[in-house]
Amino acid sequence: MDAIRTVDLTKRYGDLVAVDKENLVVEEGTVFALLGVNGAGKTTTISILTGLTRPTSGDAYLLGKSILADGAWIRERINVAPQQTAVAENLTVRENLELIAGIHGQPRRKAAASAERVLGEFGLAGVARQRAKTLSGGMQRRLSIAMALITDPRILFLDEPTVGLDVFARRELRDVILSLKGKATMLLTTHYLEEVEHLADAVAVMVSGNVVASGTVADLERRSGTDTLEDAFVKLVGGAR
Amino acid sequence: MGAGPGAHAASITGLTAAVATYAPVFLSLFAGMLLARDRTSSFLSRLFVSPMTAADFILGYTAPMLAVSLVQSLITFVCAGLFGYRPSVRLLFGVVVILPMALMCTAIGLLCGCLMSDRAVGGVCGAMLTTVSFILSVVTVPVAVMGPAFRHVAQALPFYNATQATIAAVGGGAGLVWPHLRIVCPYALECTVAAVGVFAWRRRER
Repeated sequence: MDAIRTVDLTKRYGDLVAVDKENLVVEEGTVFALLGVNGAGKTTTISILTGLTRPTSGDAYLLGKSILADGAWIRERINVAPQQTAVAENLTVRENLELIAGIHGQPRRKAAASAERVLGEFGLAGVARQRAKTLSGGMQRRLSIAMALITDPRILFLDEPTVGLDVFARRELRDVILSLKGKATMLLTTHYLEEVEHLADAVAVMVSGNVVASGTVADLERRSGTDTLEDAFVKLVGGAR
Repeated sequence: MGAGPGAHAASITGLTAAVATYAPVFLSLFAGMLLARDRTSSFLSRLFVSPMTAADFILGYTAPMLAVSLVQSLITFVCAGLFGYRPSVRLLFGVVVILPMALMCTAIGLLCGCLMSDRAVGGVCGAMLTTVSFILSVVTVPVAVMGPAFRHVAQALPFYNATQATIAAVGGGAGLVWPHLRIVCPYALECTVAAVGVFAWRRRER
């Protein structure tokens, strides 16, 4: 089953076409990486798929349901780690986690248990009682990602999740993503191509709102006649710009 | 200097009730600025991806404001004791009677917060609404000395009626509370429904 399918998905802001007739298919349980330079339309795509922005035309189907018609059903089954750190600064780390778990329908006890689990997974147990605003930028980022994972979403959107993380946190997040493979579908945007090589089952390259290539990493390398994803990316993006 | 026709010295009980009823106007400023700032934050974007509905969001902003209103009213009545007001158990009734006004003010603030920047909210709720509601609540100028046009406008709007309902509640005129409150309550409900509707619209049109 397709976890995500976009059909001629388009978003215009006046004369600017941020996403242009995008057609993507992401299979359930896989990690799908959306690549592109800044302004390529990656974050706009995630905003549309998560219901934060309405498409100008076209539609997208998440777990078989339309984002235009079944937004409430979809929102119960997805979560997102936005590009900017998104935490409630005046709440403690534990309260942030329990808040999100509760909002997504977990009863109090389950929310507390989920928070305990995620605190351990993300190395946040030592700061569980600290207010989020007292954390370093990197720790806030960890918390922000942990808040996306605490609800056990069927589709998880990770918008440049490793920006601002130190090497240890990046490795921990990578392990978490690998452990979720097969259980959750993940749509990831990143500028770190080695992460894509390590994590992604499929990749799409966007340029100026258009998907110029998609497939596995090996497909892209073969199509561009290169040996590495970075070379393939440069060739694909450079040729299309 | 002589008093104007129809003018009389305000009793400390009436003045305290009027001030306590006026105080929730500032909740509109707090609620509006809070929402306007939150709208620009990533955290609210995260919450927009959650199953929360627009009504959930408005309730989430409103409930703490009503709690603040309860405390604010209690403090107002207690502090008035320093100026000659004799607290009685009736003030608890007054505190409850103020809640529809607090709900309406919060909803107006949230409406503004949905539509404007935090600076604009400061102008509308912090300057305009506080002034308009102060004049229309007829706290300092008795309604009897105003012209008929102004009197009719004031009596049709919630500010004057909320003040009179509280004065009646703390002054022992329980029978006079509902005739005034029944004018305030529809305004409070309509403003709240409007806030939910506009919030949902803004969320959809992002």
